[in-house]
Amino acid sequence: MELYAVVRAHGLKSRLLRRNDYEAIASGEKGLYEYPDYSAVSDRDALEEKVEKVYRVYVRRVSLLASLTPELSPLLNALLDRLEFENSKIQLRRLVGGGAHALFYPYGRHIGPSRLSALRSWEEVWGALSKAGLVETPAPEERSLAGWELALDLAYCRHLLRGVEGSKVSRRSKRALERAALTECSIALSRWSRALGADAVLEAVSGAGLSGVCELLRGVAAKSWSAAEADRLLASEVAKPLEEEYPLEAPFLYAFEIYARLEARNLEKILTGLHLGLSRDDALKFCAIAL
Amino acid sequence: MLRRRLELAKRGLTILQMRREMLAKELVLLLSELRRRREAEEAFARALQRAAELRASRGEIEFRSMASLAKPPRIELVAVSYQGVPVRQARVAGEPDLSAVHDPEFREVAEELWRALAGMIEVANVEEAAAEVGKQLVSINQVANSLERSVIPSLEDAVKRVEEWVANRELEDFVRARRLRGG
Repeated sequence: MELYAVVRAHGLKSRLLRRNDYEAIASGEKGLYEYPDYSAVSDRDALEEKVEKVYRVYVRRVSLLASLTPELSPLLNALLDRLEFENSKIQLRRLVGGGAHALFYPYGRHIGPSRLSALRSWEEVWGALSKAGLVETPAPEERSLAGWELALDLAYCRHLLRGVEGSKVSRRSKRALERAALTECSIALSRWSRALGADAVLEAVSGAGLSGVCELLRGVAAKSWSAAEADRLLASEVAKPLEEEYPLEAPFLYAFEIYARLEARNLEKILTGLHLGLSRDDALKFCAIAL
Repeated sequence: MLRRRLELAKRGLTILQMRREMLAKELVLLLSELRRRREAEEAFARALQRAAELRASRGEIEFRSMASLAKPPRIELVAVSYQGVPVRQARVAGEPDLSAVHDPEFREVAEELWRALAGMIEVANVEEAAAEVGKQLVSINQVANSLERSVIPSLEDAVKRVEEWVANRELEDFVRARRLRGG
């Protein structure tokens, strides 16, 4: 089944958008609906509807692969669960900011946006994640939003590493997946060093028992990458090596997930840029185009 | 009676001319402050562009979520007197609260946007004041011109005509009296 899923992933990857496609969309030459996977996205849709439909395509692609390979579903589902953690952050910001209408990622294998939006405190959010099995420790006693969000990011890293651990793949593949997950986590967590300082982040990571991430993070924590740079790093430092070294093994699925995730993020950025009336070049400059 | 009216009109004109001078000085001052408008508009356009780029770079979902953390400023409308001319002015009653925005990039952009917006509010206040003072100046000018060019000359004319008439009557009376005395 692993090989079948990898072959399917190659098929799905061949349908991912390339640089010229992004350029055509950003310049208005082509509508997003002209691409078969995005035929549901209409020009008449509001920006938030378009973005939601784009993420549905990403979730559908990765869910398909997860359903095809029970031995890899812990990892693929853990990768998708990132959206559940992101939605939790969105709900916490909503609570702190005074309950304005929020836009959630259209994903809810465990909690889902409608249940999440009814939660009223940090303890309730953490409790829901805990009940869903996404976090295993009691709610950290944090008082600030930044502290809550960092705790969620750390919890996601642990969840992802558990997903790698729970996957039934060869030892070689598992090592590669673990390395990739650690690199991804260190890239994601290093962005906190700008807000909280590198030492505070290292302390939090080490306190969370993520020793592997801590080691990698020591080398990158001082870097203050922008969101676009972090996305580009994800493509070049995680996806590309996996794709090149393991074209017919489980790690390729991880690489595909990153490409599919970046496609959704790129389209979200381009659609937002077009909505704001940015030029083609400005709309494209924040994208991480890996293919 | 006519003389008193003329005197009153002349005194009124002097007062109006003094007020006109004061308002004109105020208007010149306000217009010189309005030179900042271009700078404020450029700063506002730059801040908007930076906010648009941040929105595009982070994507709509994250941007909207982070933006919801910023509590908006409180702006009030108050009446302020510029040389006695009441003008409506926007006053910042409360600065925006960005304390919950923990992302440094979002915070920087929000702070820059607020600074630029506060600059635009100041410019808008000066513009409003200049418009109101200008309106008052036009109105005073019209009254002063009317006094200067029409009311005072016509009163002076009337006084002159009455004085001539009175002088003629006095001359006639004098001639009549002499004739009576001589005859």
